Amino acid sequence: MPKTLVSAHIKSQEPLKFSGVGAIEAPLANQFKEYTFPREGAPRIHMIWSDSPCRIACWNGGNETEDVLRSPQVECIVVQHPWLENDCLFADLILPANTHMEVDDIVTNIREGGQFADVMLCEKAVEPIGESKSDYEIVIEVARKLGYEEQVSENLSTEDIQKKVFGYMDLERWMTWEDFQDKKYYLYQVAPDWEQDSPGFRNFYENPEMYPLGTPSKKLEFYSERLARHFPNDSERPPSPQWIEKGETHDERLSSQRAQEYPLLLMSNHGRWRVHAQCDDITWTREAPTCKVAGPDGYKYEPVWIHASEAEKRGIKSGDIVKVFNERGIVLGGAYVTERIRPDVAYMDHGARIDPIIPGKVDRGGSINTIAPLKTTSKNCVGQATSGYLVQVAKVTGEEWDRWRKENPSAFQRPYDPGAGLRFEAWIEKEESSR
Amino acid sequence: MKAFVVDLSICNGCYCCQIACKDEHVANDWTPYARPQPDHGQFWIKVDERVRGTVPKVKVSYFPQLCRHCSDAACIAVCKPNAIYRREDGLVIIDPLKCTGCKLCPDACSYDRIYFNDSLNIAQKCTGCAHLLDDGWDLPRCVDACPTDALRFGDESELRDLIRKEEAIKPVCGPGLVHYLNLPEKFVAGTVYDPIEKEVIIGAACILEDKVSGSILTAETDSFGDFWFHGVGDGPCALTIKKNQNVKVIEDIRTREDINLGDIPMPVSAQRFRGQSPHPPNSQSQD
Repeated sequence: MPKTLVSAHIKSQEPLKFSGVGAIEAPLANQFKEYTFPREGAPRIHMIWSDSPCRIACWNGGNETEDVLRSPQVECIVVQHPWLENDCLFADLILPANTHMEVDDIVTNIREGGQFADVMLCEKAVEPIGESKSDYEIVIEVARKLGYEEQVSENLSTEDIQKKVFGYMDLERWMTWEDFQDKKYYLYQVAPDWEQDSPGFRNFYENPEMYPLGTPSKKLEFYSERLARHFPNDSERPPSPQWIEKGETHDERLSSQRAQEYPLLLMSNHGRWRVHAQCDDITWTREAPTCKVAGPDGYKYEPVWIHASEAEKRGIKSGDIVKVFNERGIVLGGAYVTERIRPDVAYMDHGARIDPIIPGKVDRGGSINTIAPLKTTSKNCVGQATSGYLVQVAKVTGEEWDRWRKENPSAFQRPYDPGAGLRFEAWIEKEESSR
Repeated sequence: MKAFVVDLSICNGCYCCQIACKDEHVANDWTPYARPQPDHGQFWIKVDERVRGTVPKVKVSYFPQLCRHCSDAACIAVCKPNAIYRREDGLVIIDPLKCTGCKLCPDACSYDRIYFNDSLNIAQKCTGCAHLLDDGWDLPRCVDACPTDALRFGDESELRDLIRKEEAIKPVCGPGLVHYLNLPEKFVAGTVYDPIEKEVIIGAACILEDKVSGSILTAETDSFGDFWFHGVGDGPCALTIKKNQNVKVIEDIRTREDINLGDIPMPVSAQRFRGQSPHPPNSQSQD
């Protein structure tokens, strides 16, 4: 089940048909494999158990996610997370997980694209904070209760597991386990004769017959025969890449009829000051003017970049509290009026911690993906389309504040630390001390 | 005598200096050099961002601001209990044990580099990480963290060649330990296009004359029809654009700040339709 389709599954009584599992490292051919969920005779989703989830803040259709997480069909939600944020707020059971600073570990870093390929043996820097346990310990504890502890742990100690990783990374070829324990890392070396390697596509360029590419045609492909064969009627993902002004599932361009009400294209990047939803609470980065905008109410809002000409039309000044909205909901932000963005565009990064005023409808935290489209890339492609959609931006009116305060007063009573934002205390109802 | 050199042309606004300073001074008590900096609200070094020009000719300049450690420091002069002193290496320090919290020095500083810590009732600012220098470090934390060498620190004698370059540009501050190189140069930019062909004009000669100083800058439109003049004076200026036999003049350009003149129409293709030589030998085709 691709993550992008979980909401659709929970909302629909019919089995869901899709192509490909949508996993980032799935083999290319997997996208042509057809699946049905649930399989015949198999149960629907009744329970969600997730580690460090940020489905609302970082995926498609965040408000829909907030709705389905509260749906009676999802009978139980268990999350394990180092921080009480985002999806955790919708969980029935929250298991405090610790960070990698608090565990002995082994880390492999061998994906393409990294500056270095390495394996690191990590020692914890501090003892686990509070009652937290590592994700692994949590899984083992749950397995023990279910009577599966041995199957999961294989009776291996942390050092046993580290040795196992050392083994399957084939590090014995380069150093002994004792040396590795002493040095604590191994940095993969480049081949001694790497300078003799011809660069990039040079061999293919000079002799494409002898050095074919790994494509079906063994040549550069501008037109995908496989896409044409498997999905002949996909107007949103045709065999060759092209601009599609209006698709069968997406209508998010400035030429759309919808643009009369929502005339700005919302651009959303990976935030400069966060890693997706992580690190939205760091007091030092939140002081940068492009990280948070301090509103007149003392709340630090997620910046909404808007061009000076668009701001003027709307009576918006830098620092104003604004709402970014479309049919899917309202997100509040702090106006960052600038020449660094074109007219017709508004820009807000994904991943800000949610702070729902009205869950599923109005978010104060600036979690822009709550109003991103739910529809996937195309009917045959399960990617998310969470940048470049239509919104309107306007100042928040006094009437709106009054209405929201009346509808959900508790949303305005959460303890708020302007330095870090919403912290643990914001979500805990402390029992009155009887002593 | 120590010196800081800040090369603005290679500061990319990464904020590492600002964060490293906090890492060194927040929650760390370096008395008698400094007491802890509050978790937030103070910036002993602060990255200022300046957005220049208008869409789509926009540049952002980053300006790390720190105590200039002035040789004639106004903060020292105004401090009643003599809590502020200048070390032999030139660093200006507020002694946290002598500071009485009278709040005179923050107002005396022309650069707004002194903060007031209400909970400790003392004034605080950059110490140049003197506690580290006295402990054998070569660099303060901000300089150590700078990935581009936009921030440098060392003995004034060793940095003299760099500091000398500051003389050529307009000084931004009085004598002190901090020297700024390569201040952002004011620009005038625009795009030249042919409204009939609906194409940009490549290779047009552009001349910008400062009507007051008489200085002349030249540029040529690039493959996008763009021209950029850097180091523009206060003007007003006049712009002359020439392509083939066509000449366009824009008078009275106010250049108190960076200027984007936008898309400038200049019909050059009409001649082609009249049968005249469309392209002199060296001009590039717009097709």
